[in-house]
Amino acid sequence: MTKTIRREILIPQPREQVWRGIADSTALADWMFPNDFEPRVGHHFTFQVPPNPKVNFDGLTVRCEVLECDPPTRLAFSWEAAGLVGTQVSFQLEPNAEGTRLLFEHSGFDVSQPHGNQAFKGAEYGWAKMLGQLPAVVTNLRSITS
Amino acid sequence: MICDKNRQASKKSYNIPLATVKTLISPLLKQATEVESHTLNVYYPAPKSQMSKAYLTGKLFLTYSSHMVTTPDHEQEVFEAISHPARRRILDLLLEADRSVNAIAGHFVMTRPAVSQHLRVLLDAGLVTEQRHGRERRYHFFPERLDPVRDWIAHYERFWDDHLERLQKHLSKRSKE
Repeated sequence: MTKTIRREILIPQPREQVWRGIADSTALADWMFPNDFEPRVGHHFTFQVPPNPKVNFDGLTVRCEVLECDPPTRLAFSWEAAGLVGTQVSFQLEPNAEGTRLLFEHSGFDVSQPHGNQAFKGAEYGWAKMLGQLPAVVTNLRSITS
Repeated sequence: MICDKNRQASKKSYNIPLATVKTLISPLLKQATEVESHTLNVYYPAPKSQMSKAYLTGKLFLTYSSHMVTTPDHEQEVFEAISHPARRRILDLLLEADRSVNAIAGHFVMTRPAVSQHLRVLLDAGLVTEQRHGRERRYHFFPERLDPVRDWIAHYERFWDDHLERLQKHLSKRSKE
């Protein structure tokens, strides 16, 4: 039993411009986190989520691999962080009268089979840590934005 | 009568970031203006009422249902509870009807003590309770107590909502340059 997060947003910019916002390391660092992304299939990269001592959050590394890279239409990469393994993130860009329709998916949240015992091995990559960290990540982000 | 020995009168103290406490209790703070402490004392459910009581170092006194208070410890228990296929199968059986340990064991090759051990994990995670019916105990499943599993996804939903909003800001900033 897996779950998928889906979002659809309309962006008033042409597809090529949206593509540069999602398939570029500098751009990703601006709206995601510092990273070593490169737009080619098979490239392994990480997002470094910075620590925030204010909320007892000691940082996090998200490990990714580019799975699909088809400019300016589709970008997909794997997403592994803490106890979360086997999930994929994808961006699909479709031209639209007002600009670009962006279809976002984060799939593979296996809620009935939390990745065998793997997720529970070791304190560092436990679910509890993951669960504890996500609100902090979001808080972290809000404090940056505001 | 609901018999829930393992959760009776157990009290735990957690150090939770203030922001998290505020999020957890914000729906309940209609009358309070400010939360001043970030120590949350949680009393596990009084068995009959299925309600728990919590207070914030004496400044506030709150009563709310148990599954609204989730802590990393408790969440880990819930995830571990559903990590074993036998325990998920037990929950499936209990979703159909309350059953005794013997009735559950009838669906498995494993021994009754092994089934009891799995039930213990489910009890400790608060997913099921024991109810006495005459001489036998039956087990009852509270599906709503799987909320931490749903909340786990909800965290990520918020995470992406925030980031996609940032992407839009990023793009509008760039198009002005």
